[in-house]
Amino acid sequence: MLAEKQIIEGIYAGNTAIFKEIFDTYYLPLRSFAYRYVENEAITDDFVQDAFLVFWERRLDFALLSSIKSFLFTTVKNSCLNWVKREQVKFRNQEQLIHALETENEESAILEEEVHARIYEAIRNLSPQARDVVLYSMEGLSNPEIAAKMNLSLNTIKTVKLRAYRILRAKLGSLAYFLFLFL
Amino acid sequence: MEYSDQDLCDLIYRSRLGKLDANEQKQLDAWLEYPENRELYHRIWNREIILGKMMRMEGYNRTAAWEQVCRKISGKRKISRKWYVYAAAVVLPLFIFGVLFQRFEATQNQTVALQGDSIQPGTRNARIFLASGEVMELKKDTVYHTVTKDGMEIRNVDGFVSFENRQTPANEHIRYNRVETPRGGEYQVVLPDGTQVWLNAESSLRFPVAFSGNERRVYMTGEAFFDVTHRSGQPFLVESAGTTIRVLGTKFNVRAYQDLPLTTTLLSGKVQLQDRQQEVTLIPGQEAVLLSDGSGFQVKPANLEVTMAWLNGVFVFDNKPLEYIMQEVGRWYDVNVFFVNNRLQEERFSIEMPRHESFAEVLRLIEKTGVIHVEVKERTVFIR
Repeated sequence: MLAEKQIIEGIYAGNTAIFKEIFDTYYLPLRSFAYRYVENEAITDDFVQDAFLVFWERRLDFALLSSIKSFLFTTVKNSCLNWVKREQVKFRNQEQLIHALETENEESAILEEEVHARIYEAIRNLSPQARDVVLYSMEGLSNPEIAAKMNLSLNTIKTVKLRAYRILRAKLGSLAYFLFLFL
Repeated sequence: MEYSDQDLCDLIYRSRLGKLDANEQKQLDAWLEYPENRELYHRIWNREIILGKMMRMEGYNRTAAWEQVCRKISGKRKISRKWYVYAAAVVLPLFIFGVLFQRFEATQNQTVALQGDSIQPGTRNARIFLASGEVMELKKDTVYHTVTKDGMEIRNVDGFVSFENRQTPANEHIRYNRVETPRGGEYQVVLPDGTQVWLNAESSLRFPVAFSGNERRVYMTGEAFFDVTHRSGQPFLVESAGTTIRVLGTKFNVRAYQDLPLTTTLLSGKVQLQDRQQEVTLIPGQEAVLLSDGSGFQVKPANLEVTMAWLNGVFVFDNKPLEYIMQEVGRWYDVNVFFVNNRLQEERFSIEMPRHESFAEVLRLIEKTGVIHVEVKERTVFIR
């Protein structure tokens, strides 16, 4: 695939513009993923930044985009696992947490974080009103139901929704967009 | 059945916030047949969970994190290594003088740092002048997607603008779009043929609405890095400062600021340069400088680290006169520089620092030598 090849070559050549795309794509899902295990934002921020630094130092080792992604998530997960093990303070659920970290198949967690980060990216620039409409409608509520809930006219809901969805479709995920440019 | 994660993420997202075609719906349905997948799908679209996540993500500062990562990669390590090696040569002989000077200036220095603090580094911003006469302001956060009357599709996301042709326009006369960055701006442009162009501050790129005919000719000023898509039978030509650069699918940097000689640096591939009298061909790692006395091009090995620094988000000056350094820095921070003491223009320095540092930090580095006293008034820097 041409797009992936270009990204990998760019990374290989030390192109920081492409590095930034990777960073922008995975930073939020990685933070959110780490928070599942370590509920401390300053620490998870460090773990995630360190994962990117190690990736950049070892950037010549990656031939596939998917291996970059799994490297990042695995690195962050290992940092979390080490932290939980090292922490002297006993959590009530520390044993459980370590067990979960060591055995759990994290694929579904990663997928969930990725979709959520993408939803966030898409709706964060919408007005609060448009956000609500989008969140209600993706829950499966019909336009009249949303209108009733938000105490707005049906026509307003329709207009807001139309405009919001136009923006959502234009806004692909960062890396997805980057890939799109090369296709 | 196997799915790549990226596709699956995309399917799930678009199943509620976009559209799926029949085939994609079928793929999603097949995936949803497994109970554990169904459970995950419902979890993903649970309103409470989403709202909680949104609130947490709102608190994540991706920009700050990126800056920290950049600083860790390029900043600290390099400044400490190179800066001191070169700077020592300048600083040591003047050390005593510097100490005396600093005592006098100590109080003023403080106010300078405060003043410099309000001056911010450049950002991703640009302006497009469309062939239709329309003007658009582009910023990193602007999400923009439109199709113009003449069938050009323009998308702007995350500091990137791409142009794509939806129809082949009539061939009678060529019409041009133009992208311009101001002082304190940079931008990334994707041309209709897929060629990528990074524009540095105070630069412009003019290109036809469609690349028809037997060549792709664009015009530029300022500084730009090109990653040209190869098209056999349709060479890519860059016109700048009276020089034509002929390209056959390659990566190269062109520096054509008015106050500096035109410099073309080749990273990979092959380019041919031509002005009125002369024609030279570069091989990767070489650069051609157009001599100001009219005697043509001087070809020499390039310092790629220095040339590519701006793309990597750093300033790298290798034993350069202060005048040159300040012009460069001024373009990025949008400040004017005035030398009260002309002698200092020729003083040479080597500096490496991230481009996203505050201006106060730049001043601090410069003042550290002890030879130079800097005073900031609004957007003008006085060097004494």
